[in-house]
Amino acid sequence: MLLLPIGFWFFFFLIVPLAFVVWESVQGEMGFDLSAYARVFTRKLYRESLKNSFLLSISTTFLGTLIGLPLSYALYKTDPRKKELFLTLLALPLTFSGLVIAYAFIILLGNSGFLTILLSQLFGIDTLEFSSFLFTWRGLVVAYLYFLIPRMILVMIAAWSEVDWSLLEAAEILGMERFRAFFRVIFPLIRPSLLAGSSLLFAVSMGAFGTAFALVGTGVNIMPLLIYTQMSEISVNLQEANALAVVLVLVTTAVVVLYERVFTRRF
Amino acid sequence: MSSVSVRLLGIAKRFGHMPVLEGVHLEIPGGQFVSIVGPSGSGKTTLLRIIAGFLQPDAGRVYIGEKDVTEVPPRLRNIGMVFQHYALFPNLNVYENVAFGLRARKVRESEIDRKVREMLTLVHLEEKMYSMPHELSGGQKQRVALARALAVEPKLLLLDEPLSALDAKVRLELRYELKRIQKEMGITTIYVTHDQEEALSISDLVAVLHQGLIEQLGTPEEIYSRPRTRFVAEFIGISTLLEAEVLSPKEGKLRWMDYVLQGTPLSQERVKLLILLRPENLSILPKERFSSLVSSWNNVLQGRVVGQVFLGSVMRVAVEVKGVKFLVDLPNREANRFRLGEEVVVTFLPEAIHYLFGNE
Amino acid sequence: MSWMGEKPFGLSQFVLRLARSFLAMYILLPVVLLFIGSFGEKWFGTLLPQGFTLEWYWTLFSEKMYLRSLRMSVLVGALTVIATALLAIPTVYAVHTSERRLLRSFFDAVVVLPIALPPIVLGIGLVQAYNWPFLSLVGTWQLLFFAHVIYSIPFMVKPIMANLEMLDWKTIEEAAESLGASQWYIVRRLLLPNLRLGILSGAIMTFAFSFGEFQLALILTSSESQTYPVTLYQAFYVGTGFACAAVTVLVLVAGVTLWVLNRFSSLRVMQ
Repeated sequence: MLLLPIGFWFFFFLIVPLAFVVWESVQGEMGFDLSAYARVFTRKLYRESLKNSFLLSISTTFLGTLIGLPLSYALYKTDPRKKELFLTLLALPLTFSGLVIAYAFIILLGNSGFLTILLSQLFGIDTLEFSSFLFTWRGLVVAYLYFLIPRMILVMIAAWSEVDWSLLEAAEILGMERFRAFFRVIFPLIRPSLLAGSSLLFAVSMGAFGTAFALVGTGVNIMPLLIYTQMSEISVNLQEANALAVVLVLVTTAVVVLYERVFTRRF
Repeated sequence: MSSVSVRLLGIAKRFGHMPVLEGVHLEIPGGQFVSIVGPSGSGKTTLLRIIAGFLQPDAGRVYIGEKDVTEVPPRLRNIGMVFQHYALFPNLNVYENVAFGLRARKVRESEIDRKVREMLTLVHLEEKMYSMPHELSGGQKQRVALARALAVEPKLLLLDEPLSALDAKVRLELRYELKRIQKEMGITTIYVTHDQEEALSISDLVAVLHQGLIEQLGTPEEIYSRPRTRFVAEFIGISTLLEAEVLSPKEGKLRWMDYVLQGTPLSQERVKLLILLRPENLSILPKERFSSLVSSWNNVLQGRVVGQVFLGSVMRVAVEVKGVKFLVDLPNREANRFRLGEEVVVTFLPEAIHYLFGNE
Repeated sequence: MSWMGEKPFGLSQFVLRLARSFLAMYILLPVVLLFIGSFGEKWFGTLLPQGFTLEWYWTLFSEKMYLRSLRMSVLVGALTVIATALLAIPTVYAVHTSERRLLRSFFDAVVVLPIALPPIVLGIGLVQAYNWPFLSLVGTWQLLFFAHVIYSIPFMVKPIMANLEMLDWKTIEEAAESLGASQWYIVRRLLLPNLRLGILSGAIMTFAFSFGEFQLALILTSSESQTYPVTLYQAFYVGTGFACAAVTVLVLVAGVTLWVLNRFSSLRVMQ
């Protein structure tokens, strides 16, 4: 009974729209038709977008984890008052809309951005060449990391603080070398959070398009942007937009599930 | 305040496949302070929650006074309840906490004010009237909880381990406080605790709950000196239990190992039965004083001192006789005479032997 | 506390400090630049802007288009907060008091939702589902509001759940019941007052999210129903100073949100 309102809302504004997406993706001019899916995997434009999205997300996940993990440990080892401050600071990029991040990077790394000009004054690099990088998918990686690294850190700080550190001492007393003890004893404890954190990074990168749109318009061919173009431009191509949306959700979910499966079994 | 009786008829309750209560019968006379004791998992809290109405029994009826309240929701049962962790309303100050039940009943403002002040006076917390719960100590919180429960003038007061979260000293203090207030108001009270010592010191009646059944209901004195079953004997106080063979019921002659024991005459024909010896009813003597007489006297057992524990007013000495440990309480001065490993004799009067008829 | 002053894995305090400073710089540098830029008269081809002016803010708060979109953002944000709270409070209560496992997993699913579902997907779904010939919601702020509520549920639900878990609610409810309080009286006098911090935190988070949300707003609104971020997007190409000022407004909303939330958490620690 108490769940009625939320159920109602979810049904009408979540389930129904998603059902429409799935339904419309298989509606051709002459009834049921899966050709849109076939086109998603055969037409170069779509295949490219899938590849780019995937590359983008893999890179951001990898780099975000690589940078976020040691930083999270450094913050975990900080005294509580400073940690409190940093936790608030870390939440800042998460509260920003993609727009803020996009513009921040334009004035940081854009054609006449702060860092671009600083580097050109210091090392004489070519500003145009340097800044054009920002508007490629690699540039998106750099921008995405701004809101992904804090996410990783927040997940991992929580994980570190749940670790029973006396286990490490116990292992050392039993004669295990410190680094080995860390990997054998502590790593298994934080692994679930690490997996959850990197899955989170991947899923967010796959779906985010605010930052990308604001930075590069539709200039970089990644899936969310392509869906937007297919839907909003004059040559409306709804069936394919819907098929792309379904594929986007499925790929994201599949990768996240597969990833967690593989790594849970490996160790 | 009128005092009501409580009757439980065949209360049964299971959680999933786990039977917790298996047909509990209990009659509580009006105005009495009754403790329900038992180890954790014995179902005592479940029983209290059924009386309060938070749980529905699978079978059985609950009567408060003459009324069958089995299907009545808790808020209409007219009970007061005090919880282990106080359960004060954190957003309300002491005054409003106590007034809560009265406001819920839409009592007149002037009446509420009078009652709240009266209750806070009763628990000696007038000066904390406008404090918030988090500003109070544990003992003060529980006083407020008690005042809150009593403010609505309940017919029945239910206490769920109310002292177990408190420090030892506060616990003792509040124990007598609770007893005083209960007597002052004459309210029927059911008190659940796992602390048997607390139950014995505070109650008019004690009910021992074990594996979903009441094993014994009696006054503290009865429960302590005349337990009916092995469980009650072991749960309440310290004792030595022996499995004895009956030689002559009329003369009260028993055999344990190769000793003949002299007890009080038995009223039942039995071949075997359990006997109970409380440590304060036993004494120890050096062996040499008895060596020649040992075989001809009854209730004289030879053993060796294997341990001593200092308990303040007494010394508890463990003596091993034929592989069984006998616990004996001696005044400190006397106990100093015995060394570990020393050969001694344990001896006691026929009246020290208590028969446990409850076990088959 | 053993971890204080201890050298973890031979890393010196120096390395830790370096890492921290790097992180703080990384997060704050863009924000600081935006802030400085918003007061600069001219910023092109130089390291930092030149001159000082309040002109950009003046323009921002006097131009009709911006004012209208700001009002729209506030309207959608406020409605989202109200609707989300009304949906979240009974949900949290039901999940917390129920012993059913299924409900708990449903709840966990709801909490991870915004991550799992790209906004673009929900966006195109909504556009298609509510585009009937006789009544089209496409391009109206109502549709944006519906979508924002879906994505805000976790922001509201999480702090309220955390708040409820801090209370020993089951016993509080029982105590109130034993005192003769009705269900509604318990909700009004105990549940809502005790959850006020959680609800307030959720409301602030939700408002900040809805106010700054760009992706759904871009897909769902039209020129009449544009919210602030969509209008702001057009400002990117007006001029650096103006764009900085417009973005700084969003940064301030986020900053104030976090500052207020931080005050709450320290308040709670004090209790």
